[in-house]
Amino acid sequence: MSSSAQSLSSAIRISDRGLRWRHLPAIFVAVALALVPLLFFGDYWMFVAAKLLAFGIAAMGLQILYGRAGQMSLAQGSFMGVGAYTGYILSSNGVSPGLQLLAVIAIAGVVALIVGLPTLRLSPLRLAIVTLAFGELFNWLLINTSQFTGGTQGAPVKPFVVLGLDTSYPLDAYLLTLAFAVVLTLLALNLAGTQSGRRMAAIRDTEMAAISVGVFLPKTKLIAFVLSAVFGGIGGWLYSGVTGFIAPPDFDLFASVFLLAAVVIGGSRTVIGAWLGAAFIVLLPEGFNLIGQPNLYALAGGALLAITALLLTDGLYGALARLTGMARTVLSRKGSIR
Amino acid sequence: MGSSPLGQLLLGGLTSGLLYALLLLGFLIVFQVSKTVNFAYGHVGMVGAFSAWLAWSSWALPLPIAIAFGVLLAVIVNSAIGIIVITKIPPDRPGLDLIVTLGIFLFLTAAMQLLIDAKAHAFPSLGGGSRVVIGGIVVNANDIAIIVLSLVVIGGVHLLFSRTTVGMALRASAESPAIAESAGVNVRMLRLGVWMVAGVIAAVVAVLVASRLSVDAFYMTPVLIKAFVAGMIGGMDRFFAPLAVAVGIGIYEALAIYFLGASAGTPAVFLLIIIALAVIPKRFTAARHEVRA
Repeated sequence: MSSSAQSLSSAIRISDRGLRWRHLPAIFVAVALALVPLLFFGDYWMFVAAKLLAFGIAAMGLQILYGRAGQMSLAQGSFMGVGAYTGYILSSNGVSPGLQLLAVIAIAGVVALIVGLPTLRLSPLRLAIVTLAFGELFNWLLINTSQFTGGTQGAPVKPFVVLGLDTSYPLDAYLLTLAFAVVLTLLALNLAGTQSGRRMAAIRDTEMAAISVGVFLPKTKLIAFVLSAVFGGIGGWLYSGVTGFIAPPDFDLFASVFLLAAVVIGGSRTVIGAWLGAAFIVLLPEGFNLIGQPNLYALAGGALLAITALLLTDGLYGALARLTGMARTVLSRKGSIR
Repeated sequence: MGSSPLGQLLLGGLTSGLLYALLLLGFLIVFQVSKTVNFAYGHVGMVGAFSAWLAWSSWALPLPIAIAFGVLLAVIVNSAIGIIVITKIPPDRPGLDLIVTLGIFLFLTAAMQLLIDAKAHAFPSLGGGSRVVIGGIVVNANDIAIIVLSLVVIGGVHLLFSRTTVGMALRASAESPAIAESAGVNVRMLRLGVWMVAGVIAAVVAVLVASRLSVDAFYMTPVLIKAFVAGMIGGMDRFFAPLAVAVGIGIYEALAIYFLGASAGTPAVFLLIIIALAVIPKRFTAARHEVRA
């Protein structure tokens, strides 16, 4: 305990020097982006922005598991469903949003433990298959326990009313999801500096080396899996509050594949990549709606997933980073010529 | 003459299991020769069967020609995937094959939904009407065709791999592509050939599955998952063990439906999958060649 606290404090000390200032432009951009909906958006786009934040939280969770720990899950959509339906069942029994949130975190975590515990010693491919099987099972459960879940017809979700905010209003829904997004993003960013976070990266890069320096693989993988499930659960719960309606297709295999696509397309190695990916999977269908071709979304999404995975090693984030890097060298060259 | 509902279900389970095994066979030969997991493989078959249905119902082509057309399309699609995977995925990026084929999986689903539609359609029953009764069990021509076809194809592929020079070249390029290449084997062409054969198998299985259920843009996913899991349990670098597991899954599914009711099939299979993959030790499943995702 004390040693981990020590290493944590030393990590914080390292990050204190200089790093904080380096992050200033990023923080500035993030705040500016968060303000855009508040300043310019009407109800519909505010609703889309809130939905984007909910998906972003789930994508950040998958980024921890896939990008940081190198384990593959085809059930992140299902964990969103676990969160959404936990909240729905509790709220229809009159449980307050605060307690719903605690239950969502607890149940998503416990379900991840149950699915993850026996699969820890498995290869990532096997974990992918087990999560796939879990997702199919979960979807079957949703459809066949219609007295609790509303079955294939879906279920209307009561809006969350917290601290004077009511998620049936897009502005309030946006502010609430934004608060969660900020806290969880800071948590996800902070993970890189913690011992667990570094252990996850070690497992991703080479399992052998990680074992040889004393990383206990199952524990670290389990932490990553539970964290990703909790992020997914919270994201799904917020999604249900934002949209006010949930149905099994929102959380099926395709939802999970699209979340994986988000992380790969955005750039799996960084938290920012998860956000870029979430923006991609939420805004792309809106874009196709605008041009009157909503059916093209899955087609384009699939093609882009394959193409990005093949051509852009670090997704959109990597491409952007390379572009800004190139711009910087071009600018500095100009400066030196002058 | 007394009918035998359990025997009837077992026959259904056996034939479903053989279809899983046949699909797995196509999946396995590609995995063994290219070390690639093709998540879109079931959908390759779907493209073939769904196009065959379209050609038969909308263009009024005779059924054999429509099916041949579907098989041809599946071969083209699978070869295209094969070419992408063989030429574009570097060996130092493990797990990329799964991501790329997941993208293709989404693409094929969406493409078929756009080109045809998202509804389920009845496929011609392919011999489901002509039946004989053996020991209280109704056996139709479709069942017999599946049993004969899967035995012939599995046996044929086994002989091809174990007894012919082509099979030796295949095994060599699976074992060590570099050495096979230097011994004069055209590894790329051989791999592409395997992808083409796998395309034929996928389409045939998909047509047979469609003839027993119905055809739409999604129906092959559960079949692929069961075949895939049988491969994981039985060992992806073996031959008969995974195929036997696939048949076992089909029979187990039929038994679960018989004893627990029609809606119990799906959860029983997926629970078994989770338990089996979690409990069976790695050394029994021969995971040494599994790719890192």
